[in-house]
Amino acid sequence: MPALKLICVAAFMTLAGYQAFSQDYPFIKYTPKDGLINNRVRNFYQDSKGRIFITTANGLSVYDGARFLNYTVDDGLGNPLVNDVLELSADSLLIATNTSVLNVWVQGSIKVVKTKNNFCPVINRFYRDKNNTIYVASDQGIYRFEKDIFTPINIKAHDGNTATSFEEIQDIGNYLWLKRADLTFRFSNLLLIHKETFKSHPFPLDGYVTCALPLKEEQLLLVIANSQLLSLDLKAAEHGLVKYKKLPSRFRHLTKLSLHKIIIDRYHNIWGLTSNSVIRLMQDGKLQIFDKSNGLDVSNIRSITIDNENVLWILTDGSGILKLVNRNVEILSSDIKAIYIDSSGKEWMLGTSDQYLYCSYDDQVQKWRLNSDAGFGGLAMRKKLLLLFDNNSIYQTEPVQQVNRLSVKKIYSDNIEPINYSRAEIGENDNIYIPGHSLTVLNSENIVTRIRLPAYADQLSLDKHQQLWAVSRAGDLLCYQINQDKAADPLTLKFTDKLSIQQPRAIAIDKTGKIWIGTRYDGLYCLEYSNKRIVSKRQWTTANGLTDNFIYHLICDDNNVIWAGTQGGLDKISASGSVVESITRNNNIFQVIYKVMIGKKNDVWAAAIGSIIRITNDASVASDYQPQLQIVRMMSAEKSFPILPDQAVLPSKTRELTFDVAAPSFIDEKRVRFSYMLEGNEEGQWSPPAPEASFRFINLPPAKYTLHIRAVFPVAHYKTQELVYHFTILPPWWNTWWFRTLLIAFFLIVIVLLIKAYYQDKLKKQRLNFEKQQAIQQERTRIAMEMHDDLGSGLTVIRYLAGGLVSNTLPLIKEKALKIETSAKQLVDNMNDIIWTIKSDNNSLSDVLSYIRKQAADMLENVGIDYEFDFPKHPGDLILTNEQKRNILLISKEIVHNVVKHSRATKVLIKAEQNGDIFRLWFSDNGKGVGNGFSSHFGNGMKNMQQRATQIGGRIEIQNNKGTTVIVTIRLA
Amino acid sequence: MPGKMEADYFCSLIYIRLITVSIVEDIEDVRNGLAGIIRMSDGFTVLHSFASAEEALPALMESPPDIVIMDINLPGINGIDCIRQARMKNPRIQFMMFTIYENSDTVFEAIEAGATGYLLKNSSPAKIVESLKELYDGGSPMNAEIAKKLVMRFQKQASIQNDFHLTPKEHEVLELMSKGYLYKEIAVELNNTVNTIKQHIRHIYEKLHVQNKAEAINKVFLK
Repeated sequence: MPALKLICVAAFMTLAGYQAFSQDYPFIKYTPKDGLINNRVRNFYQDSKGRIFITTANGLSVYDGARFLNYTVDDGLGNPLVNDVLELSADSLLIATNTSVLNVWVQGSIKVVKTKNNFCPVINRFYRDKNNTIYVASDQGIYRFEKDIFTPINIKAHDGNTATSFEEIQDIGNYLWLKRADLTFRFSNLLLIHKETFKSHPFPLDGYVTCALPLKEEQLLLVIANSQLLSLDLKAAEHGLVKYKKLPSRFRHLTKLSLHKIIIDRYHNIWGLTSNSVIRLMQDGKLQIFDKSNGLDVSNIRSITIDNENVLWILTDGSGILKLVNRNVEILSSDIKAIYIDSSGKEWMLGTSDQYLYCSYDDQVQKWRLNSDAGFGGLAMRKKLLLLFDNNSIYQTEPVQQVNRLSVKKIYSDNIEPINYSRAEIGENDNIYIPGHSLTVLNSENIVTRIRLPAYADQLSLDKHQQLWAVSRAGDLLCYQINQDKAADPLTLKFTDKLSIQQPRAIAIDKTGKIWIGTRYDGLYCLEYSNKRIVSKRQWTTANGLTDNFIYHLICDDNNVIWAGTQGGLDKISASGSVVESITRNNNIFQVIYKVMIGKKNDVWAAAIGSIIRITNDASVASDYQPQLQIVRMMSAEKSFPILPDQAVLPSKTRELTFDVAAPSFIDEKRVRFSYMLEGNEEGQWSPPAPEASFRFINLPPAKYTLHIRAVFPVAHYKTQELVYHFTILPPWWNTWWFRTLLIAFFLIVIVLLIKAYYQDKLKKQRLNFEKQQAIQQERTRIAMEMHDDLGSGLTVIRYLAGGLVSNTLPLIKEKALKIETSAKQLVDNMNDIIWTIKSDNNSLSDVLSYIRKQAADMLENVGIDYEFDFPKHPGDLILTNEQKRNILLISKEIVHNVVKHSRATKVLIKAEQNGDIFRLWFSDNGKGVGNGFSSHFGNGMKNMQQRATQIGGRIEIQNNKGTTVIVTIRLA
Repeated sequence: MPGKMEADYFCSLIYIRLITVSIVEDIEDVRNGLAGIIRMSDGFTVLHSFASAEEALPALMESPPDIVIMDINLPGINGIDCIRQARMKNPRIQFMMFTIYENSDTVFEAIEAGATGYLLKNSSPAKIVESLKELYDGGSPMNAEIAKKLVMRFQKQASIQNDFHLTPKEHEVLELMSKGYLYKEIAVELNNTVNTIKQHIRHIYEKLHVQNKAEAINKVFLK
């Protein structure tokens, strides 16, 4: 179908030569090559999170802008043919496949809904009424689905038969329209039932209804058998009558098209579908047609949908899905060399290959043959006279009339520099201003004035104060006052400034007087002057959303929006500067835009090399949608974890984690950029924004984590979205606090038990040892005592017998008897000593001391040696061993014995001292001293004493100090 | 009996009253040797000498001596029981244990039973005579071990009944004795004569005996 763009079909038919302006819409196609599961698309559903569910003849695709998640029978679908999808709640959608199984899609995985009675019809369509009750149109009839059970709703058809099979259920006012699938074409397949009562109305309509659409005034628009368009009177239908009303006039344009479907979108636009075209019926009855001629090159169009973002999706059976983001963006054919929009809004175009001039106005196109051989490159309009340019000359046509030919005459030639004709500006006074090394002014009388510029200027800008602005590549900002009356002196330099901006290439003055400067390398600047001084300066580059930093051309439209033609495309900058939108890139168009013009109704025309892009000022394209940033999947080692709303707790062996995120926006999903920051044990850092919508984290130690995700959108009015998600990787069980506590407790108990066992064992051994020792001791004491008693008695007898002989007169006998007596006494004394040491109740130091005292006293008293004791008054309770006791006693006895025997002393001082475990005994006599007579004094006794002292860890010293002092030092304990 | 005759003999010869001593000792040689020693000493006479307690008891009751030297390990009734029985009937008789080992438990038992002194069998004749004299003069021998046992005994007693018969002085003597001080040293410490100390000791013994007797009577009454 031929079309410029919006063409009244009737007017269009009267024109010839239109082929010159073929035009394309930037459709984007999704097929299995792009990830879609199957080319045969059946239905389209957008859930509350913005994802689109695409049902196909062989599975389900879920597209979130970042990826297609595909589901087949292998993933749990009951049947490859997916009929319909219905959202129950976020992340939970019912899926009807062409079998008696109801599936549910929950957080990315397919499950089977178990009904209570194990019955599920073959569902063709879901319907949810305003009370949130779900009905299904199925091969087995209409059912209400509540509380996991399908309840049949009995519906009698008008022909009296029970209708059993339905393929469609739709809401029409108080009624539901059911499309029966169990009938032939002979009867109407349309069944109207009351919404509340589910009563059907007898409805003897002939013909097969392919589509029905409620209109206002209780009319139902019917498409009968793919051709007839009828308006049914619903009021009459309620009474069982078939009455047709006059088709509203705006629908008449649709009657001649063989539509199979009519759709009203969410913005109340009416769309008609044929198998290979999509027609939009505008409010004024005009049609916008999408077909092969303007980029929609598909067949078997099944349906269309307008999504949340006002993107048009076209579903095809066999060619996948197509999307058209901005229906108001068109690429006019590459056959147009130049375009000019005059002050009345007429679009003048110069053909590429021929000498034709076209004018489009009010959807009418006129065409003229130019009567010249010159190779025109540009055009403009002055005083209803068309100006044509080539590199060296300016030509003017005769007044444009309704004739086929226009004659052309040269009005100016420039021999100094080529004419920058694409940048020529026509002033209100019909002056022509051309930038370049000089500013060339051609007044209405074609008198030329050349003003030398400091450097080459690429663009001029006229403001509403009769001023002409220019910026040179060297950064000179020049402002000229236009002198209306002085033909010879058309411009007066009013203001100049040297900008600190490198390589300016474009200039525009907006409605508020701000100066916008486009540059070669540094993007766009906005300068605000006050009293000839810059008071504010802002800059935009690709970092702020520009398609390119090389700005060719700038213009300000009626709404004070700045349009920038760049090396990469066309950008739209709101006057506040806060919104930068790349119109061309969003539509997958990448072209150098060297000139931008504002047309009638504020349409924008952008001249690219070899083609023209038009952006219609279409309010219906706008939407207030904001995409939702979401986590789609959380996976570790191929295993998917549920995305819990608050926070996820992951098992300890999780070392690696992949997050798939999405922010469903289909305007330019490839340019949605994501960044993330993971905070765990360490501070995180935002990753640079990238289109990659999958974040993989490796070597994650067990900890609490917070994942921040950010999405930045290429659509200017979409706010940057942020999402925070908490997750915890559990420590391994052997690393948890309770396990550690238990472990410590266990070890403590074991240690305590071991210590206890050790000490008990030791105590037991000690006790046994002690008992044994005691038993030995007792036995020893007993033996000793018995021997002592016996021997003692015997010795006593001997003594007394010898004593009897002492009085004998024979000296020999007397002497022997005395010796016997003495020996016996000595023996008994020694035995007493031994017994004393053996007895266990004399073990303290104090006992030993008192024994020494008594022993020494006895011995010394017998021989009349004076003695003195200096013993501690309170000797400690130190316990001595038998060995210590015995040796100390024997040493002491030996020393006293020596004193008695050898010292010739008259006095002895015996001193004892205990200091800690050191025990010392001093025996100081006033006798002759040891001196030379050492051996005689001590003799072998000394050796024995030393031995005894050594045995118990002591030593003996002998000092000669006015007598003899023997010092016994023993370490007790 | 020869002993009796000899005593009579001495009594008639000497103005001052001779100290009468009886000996109970089962070994004949020792008994005779001891008797010989005593008999040869001035101021003493051996009243009896017996080989067993059974033999001795009736005679001792009939004609009580001043001092009985009593062996402990006697066949039949042992020395301690003999003392106990004799003291019950005649508390005035002084018993002196005749022992080989002064620290044996039996010595203390004997003291508890009523003995007021002890005599080591190993003692020289001079020491024997001195001990007898001392005993007769009101002194009593004691050593650290006996003192310790006595202290314990009195403490135990004190905890049972408040009536504490020992004077502070006696108490001090006993304390020092138990720490191994010699008579001489105690005398210096307490600013007394050795004899006084010995008399203190005798009093201590006697108080012990009174107590023991009271206990014994109590026991009888309680029966």
